[in-house]
Amino acid sequence: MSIESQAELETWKYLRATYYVRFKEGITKLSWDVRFDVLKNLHGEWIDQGDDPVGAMMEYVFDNGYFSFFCKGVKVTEEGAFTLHRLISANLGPVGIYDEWF
Amino acid sequence: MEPMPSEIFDFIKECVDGFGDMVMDMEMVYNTKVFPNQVSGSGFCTKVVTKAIVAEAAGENRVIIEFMVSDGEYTVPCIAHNADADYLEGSIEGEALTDFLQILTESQKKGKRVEIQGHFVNLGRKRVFLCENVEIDDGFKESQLTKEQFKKFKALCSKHNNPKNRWDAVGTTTPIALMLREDTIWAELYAQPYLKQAVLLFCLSPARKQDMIHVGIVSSHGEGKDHLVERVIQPLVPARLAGSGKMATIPGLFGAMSGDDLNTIEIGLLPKMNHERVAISEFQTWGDETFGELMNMMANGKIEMQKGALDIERATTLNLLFLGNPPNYYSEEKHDKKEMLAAFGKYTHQIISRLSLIFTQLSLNGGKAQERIRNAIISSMDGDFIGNEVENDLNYWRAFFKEYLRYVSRMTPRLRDWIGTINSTYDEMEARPQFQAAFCIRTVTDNRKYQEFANLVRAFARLQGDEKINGKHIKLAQYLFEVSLQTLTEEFPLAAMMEGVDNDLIKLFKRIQNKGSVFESLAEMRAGVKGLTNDRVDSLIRSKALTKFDNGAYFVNDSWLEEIEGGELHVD
Repeated sequence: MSIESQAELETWKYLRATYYVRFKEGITKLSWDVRFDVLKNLHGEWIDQGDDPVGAMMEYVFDNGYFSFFCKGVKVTEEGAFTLHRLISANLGPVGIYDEWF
Repeated sequence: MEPMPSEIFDFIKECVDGFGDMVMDMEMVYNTKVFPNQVSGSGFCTKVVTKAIVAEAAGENRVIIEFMVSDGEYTVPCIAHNADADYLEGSIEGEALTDFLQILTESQKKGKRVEIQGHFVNLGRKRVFLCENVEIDDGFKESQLTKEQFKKFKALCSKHNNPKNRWDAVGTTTPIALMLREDTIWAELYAQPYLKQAVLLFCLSPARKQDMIHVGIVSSHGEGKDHLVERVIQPLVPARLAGSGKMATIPGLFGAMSGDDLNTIEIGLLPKMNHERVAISEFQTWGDETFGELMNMMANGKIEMQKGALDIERATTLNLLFLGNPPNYYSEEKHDKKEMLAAFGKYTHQIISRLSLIFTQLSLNGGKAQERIRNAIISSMDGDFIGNEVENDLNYWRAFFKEYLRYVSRMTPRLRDWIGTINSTYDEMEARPQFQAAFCIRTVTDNRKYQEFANLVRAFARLQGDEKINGKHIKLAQYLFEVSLQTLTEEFPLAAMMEGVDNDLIKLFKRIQNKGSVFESLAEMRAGVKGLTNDRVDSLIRSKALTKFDNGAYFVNDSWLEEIEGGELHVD
């Protein structure tokens, strides 16, 4: 992923600070069986590893976190516009990034 | 709550001690009726008549302009003339009198404020205000806060600010953080942070129609809505309260011909509060026709009247706050949240479309702060905020933020630099089923809601006193917009959301349902259902909308929509 403009950079910062935080909260509420499917779908090119693919993904997440999956599901244009994979949208709060403790 | 840095409070006191009283009405003019003092006032021209002067001492071809200036409470008869001094002092020569007439006519026809200067004189048996100068006053008051004071205030806010992280949009001593504190302007009322933020947005002064922020709050009685206006908003900024249905008449709100003199167009409450704000209490008691009249005003920031020969336009660029109760038949168990909005009558959809923020909650405090609310009530009843140091400090904060809000209302941070993020953020929200359900979207994109969202972003930049938009302003606007959405809708089943069930998927399912209940193959189902990708079919199967049999046939689960609406969706 290369960032081409200031607007794109600002949008990534914004997404990292707002959407990603809520996405991480949402995704970690799912059971690992469901989470595995969601993350695999988001990744798009994930190849199951070994006899225990869920366990392998758990290890990957333990080492690398969820941000790489998040990045796979986000497209940001040079103008700073973005689109989210529907599974990212679906795993934010019920109405978006709003946190009920706000 | 962290202690208030004394450096900030000392600075605020210093600023406020330098502020003076501003003339906003005709009271001072009215009160000098018996004295010949030179005085000035501000109001609207409600009538203007030009007459010839027939007295010999006046000279030949002399005229007198008789006009009325009213601020809605005090009405003063005024004159201007070009007669010789033997007839009456204060002659206005040549073109200047024509300018007078033009300004007064513009004020009457377009509802523009005029600032007048002069003194009272006797004319025959009448006591009239001899006007020496008249100027159009755009009514958008200049702040008394100077640029240097503003900069220093911002610098002090930054110096003491201690944010939780670099994306903490409110922090501890940003202007918004200070305005949300219970020891500044919220001492007399306990409220949730989102409600406080909505009130602060309402307290900005709209310069143009795009700046207007209309807020609706529908909650149970006894939640302190009127207290909010009396104890928080009115001490802070100019705001008037429009009463219940019978008390807030169309002539009273919009203006009408005077019963005493049909040539006089009285000033209504809304034109009078141009660039300021009006709260509407018990709006559920208003008739449909009153809401109907409000719709143009809410969208266009002006009203137009045709009264007899007069075709009049009145500027009403102001913020509205609707405060009311849900219909008396409303039950949280039996009815959809949107039923609470039935209080707006037959124009519910149109009014909702024009509201930037709507909060429909039976309890505004979430029932978690009963003790704090009761404490605030007892303190208010005991007069804890009257005639003591607490009141003194509160008055300093209110006086300062009144001028601060006026100052920042004139700022116009450019949205263009963040248009990509703003558009995408709005699109993401708008695509959610809750959004479409709450705002009754009838077209593909609701441009009015988009404009309201963009306006919220800019309004947060203004509240923070920032010249440039940044991501934190978008975050604040998005949060508040979503809180509003949250209060408007029931929770969409989480399981369905996790499976990516969105409005498009529901539409797709309905199209499949219309084609049949059983399909022999995927190809048969796809025939005539555009957009049915493998991915979407997979989502429908996973969410139990479709069942796939071993022989490759597909079964449509007709009760699926009911199940997800009831939150019964199962995920394998």
